[in-house]
Amino acid sequence: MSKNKPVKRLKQDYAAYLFIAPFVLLALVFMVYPIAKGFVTSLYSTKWAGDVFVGLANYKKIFSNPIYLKAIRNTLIYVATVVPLLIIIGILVAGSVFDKRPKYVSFVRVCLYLPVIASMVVMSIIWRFVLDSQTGLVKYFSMLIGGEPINLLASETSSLILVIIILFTMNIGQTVLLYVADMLGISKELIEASTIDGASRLDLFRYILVPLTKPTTMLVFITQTSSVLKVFIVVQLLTKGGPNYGTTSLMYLLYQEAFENSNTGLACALGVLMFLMSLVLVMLRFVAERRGKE
Amino acid sequence: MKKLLSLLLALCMIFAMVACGNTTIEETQTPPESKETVPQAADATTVAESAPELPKNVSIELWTDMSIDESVLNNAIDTFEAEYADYGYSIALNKFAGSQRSALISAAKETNSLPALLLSAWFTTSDYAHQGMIADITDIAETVQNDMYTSTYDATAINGKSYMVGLYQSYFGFLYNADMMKDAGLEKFVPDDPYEVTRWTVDQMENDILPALAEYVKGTEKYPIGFFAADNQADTFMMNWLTMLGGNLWADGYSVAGEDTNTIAALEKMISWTNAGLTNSNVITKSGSEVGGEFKNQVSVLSSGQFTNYTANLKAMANGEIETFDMRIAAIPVQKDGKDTVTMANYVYGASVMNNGNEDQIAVAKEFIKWLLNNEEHLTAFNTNAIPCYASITAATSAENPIYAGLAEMEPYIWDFTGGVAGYVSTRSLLFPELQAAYSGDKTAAEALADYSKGANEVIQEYLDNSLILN
Repeated sequence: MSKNKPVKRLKQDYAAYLFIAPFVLLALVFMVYPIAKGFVTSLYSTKWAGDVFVGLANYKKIFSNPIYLKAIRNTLIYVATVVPLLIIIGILVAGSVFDKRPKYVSFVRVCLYLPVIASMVVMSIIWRFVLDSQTGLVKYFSMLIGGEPINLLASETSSLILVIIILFTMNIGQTVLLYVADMLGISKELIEASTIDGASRLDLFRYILVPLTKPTTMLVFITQTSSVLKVFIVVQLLTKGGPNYGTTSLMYLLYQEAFENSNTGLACALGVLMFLMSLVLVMLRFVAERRGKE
Repeated sequence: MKKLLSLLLALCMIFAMVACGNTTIEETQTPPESKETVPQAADATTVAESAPELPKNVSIELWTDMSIDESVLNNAIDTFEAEYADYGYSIALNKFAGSQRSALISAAKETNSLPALLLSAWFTTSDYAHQGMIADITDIAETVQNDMYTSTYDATAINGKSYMVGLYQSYFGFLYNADMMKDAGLEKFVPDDPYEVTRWTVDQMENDILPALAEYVKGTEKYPIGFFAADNQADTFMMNWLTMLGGNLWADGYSVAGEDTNTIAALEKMISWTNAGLTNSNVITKSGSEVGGEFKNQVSVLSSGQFTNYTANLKAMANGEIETFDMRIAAIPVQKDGKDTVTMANYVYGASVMNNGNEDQIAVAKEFIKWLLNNEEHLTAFNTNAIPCYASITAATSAENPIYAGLAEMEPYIWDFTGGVAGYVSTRSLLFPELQAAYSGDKTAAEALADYSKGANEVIQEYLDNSLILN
């Protein structure tokens, strides 16, 4: 009797399975297969004739080369700074405007969302114009107040900070949008009750907005971690990974290996490393979330 | 009924996807089945009468990143197709920017869709030869060896075998603004003949020209000479500067910059020039394109530049895109062992056949190159795009291009900036970060060059160990 149960259920639900079949197939072809293929390719040397199995040699190269280690460090710095900044500033900005007049909320949302709509390429080029030490705005204002020409992209530290700021400005709009949408869904009675009970704005953030937007925080954490781990365009167009590899990211090196050096095996190993880093960071967040609940 | 409809809908979607996939594979991967053979072309302009057999009805792709008028390419293709009409050959042109080249070729390699013909610069192509992607075309190159300049022929050969046939070349040294030089009181360093390749000494550059120019541009946004290290555009030009100041970059197929005291001293001198205001201040973040742009807008007096930049600037002046000025070409002064001499580096642009696995396409690609080398009209059109690779074309076109004579005199002084090392293209991304480190003070010149040489030699060794044409 029990043996026939799955078959019976399959017969009952076959229409549903057929409906999802095309999408499962697409996911298998365009997501599962490339990921699996990437894992396998990372164990091969593909630069020379044919694919030669090299085991973990590509990974060994990554962890023994100071340039790759610097890229791992930089990428982790980007994630460790940009993602918390996005979450903190995102909640603060959204919490400050969500209960204001709708027109004002829309205005703030549009202003912050503009960099998101604008092409990353265009944004990077605009930043380059701003920062150019010969003709840029930064130099102009520096000279205007009687200072020396500043070349912020010439130092490792300042260029790293600049990339962080640019990534932040490019992503904050989306974060605020998500938080505002979530906060608008919070019961007005709850907020009014807290106000009647004498809760300050800080209490509102601490006891109502932050706890009730936890699902959005999780969403922002996952999507932005994944996005920042893949930082490429800003590095490619603004700093070329420099100076002296000071802003090089894993994705930038992945591109270099795959498309400049025809070294797909090593590029795939970098991709797998980024995938694992993303997985570990998200898992840590989930564990922290679960412990918080307990 | 609903279940039946849903079943049909799902099946349709699956079959549609399967059908689409099959069609694409057949269209792009199946080579032409027809392999009728006919005699090969006999001479330049007419189709052959006696030669090995050639396939029929073959379509090939020609990829190029050459800065050349598209009409030159299209005219050659059209004429070839017309002359080989009985054979049913067609060539599809794909012209793209140099910045896209490596990405497109890497992707094509991964998807087994390499073109049969590649027209590009040798210094960006040589690694592909080591990776087995370029066919040996020594037999074709040898047919024009006597007429081709020695430096050009040698530059595109590895261990005596040719993997490219030069179609034009572009020497690079300095471009300078003679009007600004004269305004700065440096008339005596400007030759009367505008087509003469100017020769200075390192001493004149350092002690007369650059200080006078620094004084001339003082208080303005202009600068005497443009240095740049923002990206891999820096490699060839920075190598020129290092060589100019006595540096030695390659020896016995390896990088020796890190252990050569002259090269270390040369880099230190370059940095001191920048600190003294003889160059632009933002070397670390400056790209070659920006320096070139600022030169043609008369922000700098001297600039690194290749011949194609010279002709492009002249064209821009003629079109009224930029203000007209007296632009000249100068060689790179070199002082070695106390003696003054000059040099220029050279980009050789030419045709290569790619090993794309399709013998018919490879045969047609080779046939196209043979045909082109024997077709005076089209070969001249390619060569006069910049500096001819062939002495006969230089002689035939010098009257209408008076600068060719002066450039031809530079031929014995040309140096191979790639050192002919295996994996040179892959080493290009290693020099500029180290120059940035030296310029920012994060490393000393000795440390930066030592790290560069270490990285470059690892790449070279990998190529020597794995090269499919050396092993």
